[in-house]
Amino acid sequence: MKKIILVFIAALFVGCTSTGVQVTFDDENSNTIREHLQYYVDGDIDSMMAIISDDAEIYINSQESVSAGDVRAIHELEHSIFDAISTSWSQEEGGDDIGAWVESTNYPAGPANKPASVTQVWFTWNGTSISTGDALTIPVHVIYVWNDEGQVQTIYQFFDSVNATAVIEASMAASE
Amino acid sequence: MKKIILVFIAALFVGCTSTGVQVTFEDKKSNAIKQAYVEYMNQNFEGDIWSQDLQFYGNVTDPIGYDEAKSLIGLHHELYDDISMSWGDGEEVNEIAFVQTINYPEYGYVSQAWFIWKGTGKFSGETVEIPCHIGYLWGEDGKVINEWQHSDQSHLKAELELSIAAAE
Repeated sequence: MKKIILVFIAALFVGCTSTGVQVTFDDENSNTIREHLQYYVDGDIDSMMAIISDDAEIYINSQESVSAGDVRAIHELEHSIFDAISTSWSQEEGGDDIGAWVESTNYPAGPANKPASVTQVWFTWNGTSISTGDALTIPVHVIYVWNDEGQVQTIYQFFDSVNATAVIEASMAASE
Repeated sequence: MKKIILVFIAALFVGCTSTGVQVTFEDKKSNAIKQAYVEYMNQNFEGDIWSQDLQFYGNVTDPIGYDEAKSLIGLHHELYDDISMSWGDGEEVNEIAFVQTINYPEYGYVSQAWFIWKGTGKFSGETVEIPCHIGYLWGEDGKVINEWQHSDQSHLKAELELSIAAAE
């Protein structure tokens, strides 16, 4: 009987090895990014940037990166131009708004990529121009790549800048 | 001995249940997306993988339908030459796109792609490289029913304005 129990436990360990790449939603990295986004919405840019490595590379719709310092300035500018900044996401129209869809994946090396620990978000950015009253909504996708020290080393942002540029230019012109 | 073998096999089945949400890369849906990209660059839109009831969210929160989406995508080839797609951070290998598929619980299969879109504007002469991300929700009939695009359209907008000015 003892032998049978030992074989059963051994087989469980043999068979339980997780195969394949998994995506997680309530892990530490995902929750850290949720917090990071909330800091941004609250205008607490210092806390928002705390998880970003000082030498991080941020790619905003481009293959040329900007620095963490540049991104800090961009976010501070956004809060000076827009009021009622928020993020929203719901699975379907009229569904529960959870602010952002966040998930994390540890990617192994592939034919065209090195291994990477990644958290990704999808949300709609919402804000209202303080000077013109124009409302702006922009679907956004962001990828955060983590380094071994638990900080974000690389960020990729994907969004259409057309409407944002128009509203920001009009806002700055109205403020002069 | 027979009892031990039976217990071992039973335990393997018990312990092997896949936990967690899996990401796949070379599955049928991911490969269908990659093939669709090849067809796009060849300007072949017949027999495509999109449902006639497609809801296409091109960087907006209000979708357009299949016909309008097809016209919008067709516009790329009217405005740009030498369109190509690539993805890779390796030293030698570049793929057409990084594509994955996830079966989200209580939602369904979603394929997601990331790539660099490259083209030369017919009117500006400018060659532009644009990072793109697209998500695809598959319907039960094996066709894409929702598509979400995230990419900067500022160059396309400028190229379109040039094409309109050239036509006047």
